[in-house]
Amino acid sequence: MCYLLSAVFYLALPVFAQEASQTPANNDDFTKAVFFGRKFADMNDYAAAYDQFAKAESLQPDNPAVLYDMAVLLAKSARWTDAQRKVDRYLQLYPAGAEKPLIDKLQLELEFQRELQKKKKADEDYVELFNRARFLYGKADLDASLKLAQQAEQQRPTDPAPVYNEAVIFEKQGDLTKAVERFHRYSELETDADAKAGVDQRIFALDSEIDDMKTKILCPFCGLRLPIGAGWCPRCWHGPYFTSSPLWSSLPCTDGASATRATYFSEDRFNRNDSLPCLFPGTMLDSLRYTPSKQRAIQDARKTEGWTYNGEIIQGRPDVKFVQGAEMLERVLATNSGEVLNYAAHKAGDAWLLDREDLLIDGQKYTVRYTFDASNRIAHQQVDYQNAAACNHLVTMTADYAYANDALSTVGIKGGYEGYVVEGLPKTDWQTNVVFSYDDKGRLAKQEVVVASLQKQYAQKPVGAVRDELSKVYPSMRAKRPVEGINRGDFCATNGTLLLGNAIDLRPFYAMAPAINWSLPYGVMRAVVTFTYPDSYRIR
Amino acid sequence: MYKPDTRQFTEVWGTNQFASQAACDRARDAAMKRNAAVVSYLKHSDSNYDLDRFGPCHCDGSIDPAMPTFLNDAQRIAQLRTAEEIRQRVREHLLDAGLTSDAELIRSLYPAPVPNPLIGGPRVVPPPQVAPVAQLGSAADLKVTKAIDASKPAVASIDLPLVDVLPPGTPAPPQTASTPPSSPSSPSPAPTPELPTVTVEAPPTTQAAPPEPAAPDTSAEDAADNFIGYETQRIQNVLKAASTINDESVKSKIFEACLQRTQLLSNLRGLILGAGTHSRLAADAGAAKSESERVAFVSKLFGSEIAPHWAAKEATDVIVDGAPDNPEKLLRDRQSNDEQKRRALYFLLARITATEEQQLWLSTLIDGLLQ
Repeated sequence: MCYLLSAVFYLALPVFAQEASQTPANNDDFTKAVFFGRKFADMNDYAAAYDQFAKAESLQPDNPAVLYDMAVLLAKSARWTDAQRKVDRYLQLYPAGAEKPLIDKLQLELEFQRELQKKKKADEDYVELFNRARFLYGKADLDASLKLAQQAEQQRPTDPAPVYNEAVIFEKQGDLTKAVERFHRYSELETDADAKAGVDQRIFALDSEIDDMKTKILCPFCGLRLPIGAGWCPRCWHGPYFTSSPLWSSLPCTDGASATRATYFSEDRFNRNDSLPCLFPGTMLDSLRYTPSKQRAIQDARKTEGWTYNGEIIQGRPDVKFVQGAEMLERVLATNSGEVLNYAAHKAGDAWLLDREDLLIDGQKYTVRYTFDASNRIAHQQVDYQNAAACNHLVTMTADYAYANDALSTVGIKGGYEGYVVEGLPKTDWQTNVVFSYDDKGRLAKQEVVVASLQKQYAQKPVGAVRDELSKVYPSMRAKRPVEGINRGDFCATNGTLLLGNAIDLRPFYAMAPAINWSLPYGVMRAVVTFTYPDSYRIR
Repeated sequence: MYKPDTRQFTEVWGTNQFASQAACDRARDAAMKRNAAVVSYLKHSDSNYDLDRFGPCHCDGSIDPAMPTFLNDAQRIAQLRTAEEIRQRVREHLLDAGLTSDAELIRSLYPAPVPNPLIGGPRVVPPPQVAPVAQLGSAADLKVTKAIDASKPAVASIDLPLVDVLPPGTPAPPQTASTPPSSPSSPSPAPTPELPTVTVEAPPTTQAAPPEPAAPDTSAEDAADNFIGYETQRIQNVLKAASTINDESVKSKIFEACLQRTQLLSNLRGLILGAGTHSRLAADAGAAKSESERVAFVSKLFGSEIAPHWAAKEATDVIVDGAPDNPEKLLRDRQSNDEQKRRALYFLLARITATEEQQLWLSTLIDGLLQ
């Protein structure tokens, strides 16, 4: 009973309190607060107006008009949640109140504001996608930047900006085809004529790049764009780039590919096997095919080494000067060490073919002259050098090329020299044949080098102390007789216990095939290089 | 070169070539030193042995056919052979003098070839193995969206009046707000039913407009309530209709247009109230009851071009394109014609929250346009 009475007491208390609060003084304060509130509202000072109405509300809680006015003022102050609370309170207490039509309208306004805030948030999120994409792009995180651009495009498919950004990123990634497609799409969406014109020019440039990617290769040394089928790079004379030749795609760096050189002494005595290093990631054409990013990588690699460029054309480095003519490199000057390399060449169609070049291999200088057939293939080659690594003999080598079914089949190389009076006027001649064999897929299967002959004969006795020296080299040597034991090597002098001689040096014939770039060790009379490839490997 | 066998000198040229004067000078000095060392050694046994004589470094005339010193290939080979024959003789003398073949003096007769990898590398090189490092791009390469117009108001103005609060104890009139937006009998347009399509329905005039024609002495407040209340409802209807559209970009544009319209209506209310009961603006706004009268009023105020957008049949009609960059400048420009000014007025009111000063200026301007 006691509990029941208490409950009744507490339930009755608010009513009592409300009635008790409605004293004349209270009414005056209420009226004053409402009046002030209206005045502040008229001055658009909604915060002060709300404070006054809040005072009125505290004096007479839940007055419907005050509740409504407070809701409106809160809404005008952009306090949407608080305004909604007042609206809810009003509707709870006065579902059919006099202000109901206005409350309904306010409710609609509040819903609109909610929608507006939602949209504002969506707009901010959308702009944020761009900010993040730009930040990541600046950090070279192109994949992440692209994803954000694509996300933005999904959200607003008709906004040209994300499409443009995708195009720029694809271009940066080197995917020019996709970049062009995106730029075309951007051009459809963009309404600004100037922006469209700018992109049209860019599309034109990219189309040209894509065309180059189909028709051009890069010089892997200097990065110059060359037509497919080019001989040598006319700006650094690296090459040759005979991309259609199976010889130049015979050393791929792929699983299942190998090149093993077996060497034999005279009478076919086995010497050793050597694995030859691979040269290109795939075929020569695929490996050198032009892409802007590959060109940039090559040029960057050279620039890191100190080489400089004028546009695409390599110019040299502080200690090496490339004397570039109008169309080709004419001379290389090593300004510190003093070497001079001269070149002469002619243009055949799109290709540049060397007529003459100076070569430097391990400090030894060679002069190489080429003759080409009607198909711009090497037909004949002559190499002259003074063998500074031995007795300074003036050595001449010639090579005659033979082709079968458009592929190099054999090369006959002859070499020799005439020595000096002091050493007894020796005369050495040798002949080496190189034979290339191909498999049924047109790939180089075997390359065989055979020393067909090697002869040396002294015209007279060597002079003085040199006679003693040479008797140690060739104990049975007699003037005007072929030297016996020449198959051990063509020696000419000693350097202490070391024998100096003229090896059969095939390195100046580098343009024949990559696996020929080699000097036969003394005594080796035959070398066979066997090539293997993965089944799927194709040259053309 | 001094020939020890004949004790004669032989002139040799064109046997070497240097990239620069400095390189030639360095090579010449080194050769002279080596030769001096050799001769110094040989003079022990042969006091008449002479030094080689080195000419100064100069331009290579042996490669210029116009020069008397020019050498063809055969002549050059002959020069090389001559030089080498003499060097072999000297070597033989040194060996004969008791030096071993690997003695420093003998080896110094032939300067050892020094590999120069810069110009002597292989002629076919593989492309760089390292993956190309992506070049850092500038953030400015990428565009910023223009789809979001940051200049537009982020908050729409609330165009609702406060109601009078009756003093405590005063009996409230049933179902009546003290300042109803349109008429005492129907305080505001009832929410229209949900629109199934994007077609926008005009608010029901019978509910929005008072039942009787406005008296000539209708107050500015009533005029504002009459026009603005109805038009606010119209724009709410557009928003509802737009909610059924799926294309977010179109929806967004409609939303922007509604936001602008709401702002415009808020400004227009202020202008009507500020212009006063006897103003043309209040009179015309109060008199615009029917749909055709409203459209006529809008045409008179904002130009006939705006009218179809104002009373949009489709939600998308509410979008008004081609906003001038600076409508206020256009309005103040004396060379602008009335039609241009009307159009500029629409965009100005849609963008700004008019200050008192702007209200005064615009009231005068509108009065002129409504004449």
